[in-house]
Amino acid sequence: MNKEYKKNIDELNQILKFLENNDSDLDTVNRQIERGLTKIQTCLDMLNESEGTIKIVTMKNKEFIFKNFDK
Amino acid sequence: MEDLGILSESSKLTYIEQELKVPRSKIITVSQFNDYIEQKLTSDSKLLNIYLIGETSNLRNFPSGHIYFDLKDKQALISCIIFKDNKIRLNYIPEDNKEILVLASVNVYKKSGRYQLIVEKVFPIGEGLFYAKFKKLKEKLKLEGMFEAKYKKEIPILPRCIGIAASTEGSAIRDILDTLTNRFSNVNVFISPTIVQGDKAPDSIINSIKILNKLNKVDTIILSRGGGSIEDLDCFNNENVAKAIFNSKKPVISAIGHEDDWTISDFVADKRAITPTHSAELAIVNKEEEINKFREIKKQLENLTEHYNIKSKVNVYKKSLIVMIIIILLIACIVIWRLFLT
Repeated sequence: MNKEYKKNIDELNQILKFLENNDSDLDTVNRQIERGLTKIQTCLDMLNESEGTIKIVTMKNKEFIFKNFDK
Repeated sequence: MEDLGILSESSKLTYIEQELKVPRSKIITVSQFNDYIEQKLTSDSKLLNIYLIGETSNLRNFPSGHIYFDLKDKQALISCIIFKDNKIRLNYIPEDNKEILVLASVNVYKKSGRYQLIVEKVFPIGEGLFYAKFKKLKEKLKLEGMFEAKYKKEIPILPRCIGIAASTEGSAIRDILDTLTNRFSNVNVFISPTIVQGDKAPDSIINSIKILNKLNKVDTIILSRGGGSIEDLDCFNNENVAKAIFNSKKPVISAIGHEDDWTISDFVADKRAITPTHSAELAIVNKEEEINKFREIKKQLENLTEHYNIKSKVNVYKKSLIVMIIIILLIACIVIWRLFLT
């Protein structure tokens, strides 16, 4: 997840750079903007991906034992 | 039980004697008890002018001029005082975490009922055992290249799951969890309960690192405990623990004690946090800040869309204008040509 997230941010920065200095036609520009918006949505989805669980983990007979952690 | 607080001393004793059937002669106060203990201890010649060897710990120089410290070995500890007047006469002023020999006598601090040593003379024995061990191991591992930057693994900014090797009691785990959840409300955490002090601690730490490495979802490991003396943190100055951290496939953030507490684990870990709270800040991005960053970029992209639409419209107008000029010129040419013909 981390690698993909970082890759998306890098691509997003490249898109912004491209759009800042470019003389391309409107279609190319619109396509890049659309790509940028998709990358943003992907990153936002990734930020919401994890469930927010806090568990205690131990091992017994090579098996993981999970218990909820009571804060 | 009846409240005796409102009765006078003699009434209380009468009550105890008559109602509780305890003879008056057997009743003593705390002060009398501590006086008796003091008298017993200070009159015992075996407890006068004794030589004790141990390691200084928790040494405090008070503004009054007195020095307070603990003298300890692996199993036991005793509080010691060097009074200001005596300090002036000493050839060697003890430092923290040093092995020393003291000439001292036992004394009772009656206010708190504690016995302690009044130190008369101090002899340096060499560097404190724990500190010397720390320095020796640090040199050895440094020579082996275990602290080199090229072996440091990158800490993911958005881990799927954070593994914590720490005690489930105490403030360190609470500080880490509070900071993690404040930064990232839906963070996933696995805690491997770990003994972080004493003889069993090294094996427990190594075991936790192994368990967290086996959990596929764990992307980052935080190894932590709160502050303590060099003895308390000794398990983090253990060669096997250092090797477990070094060989961990997942990056390890070491958060041991406070800012000034350096342990071998800190040197060998991929990242050192100055406090448990700081380790949580290093382990994951701040979600709110990330969302705001993306909102900002989205706004930028929307502004760019508007900018390019305007630019495109201007281009269309420009082209139309050129076409119109050409048409007008053509018409003008035709008109002139016709006029010329007629």
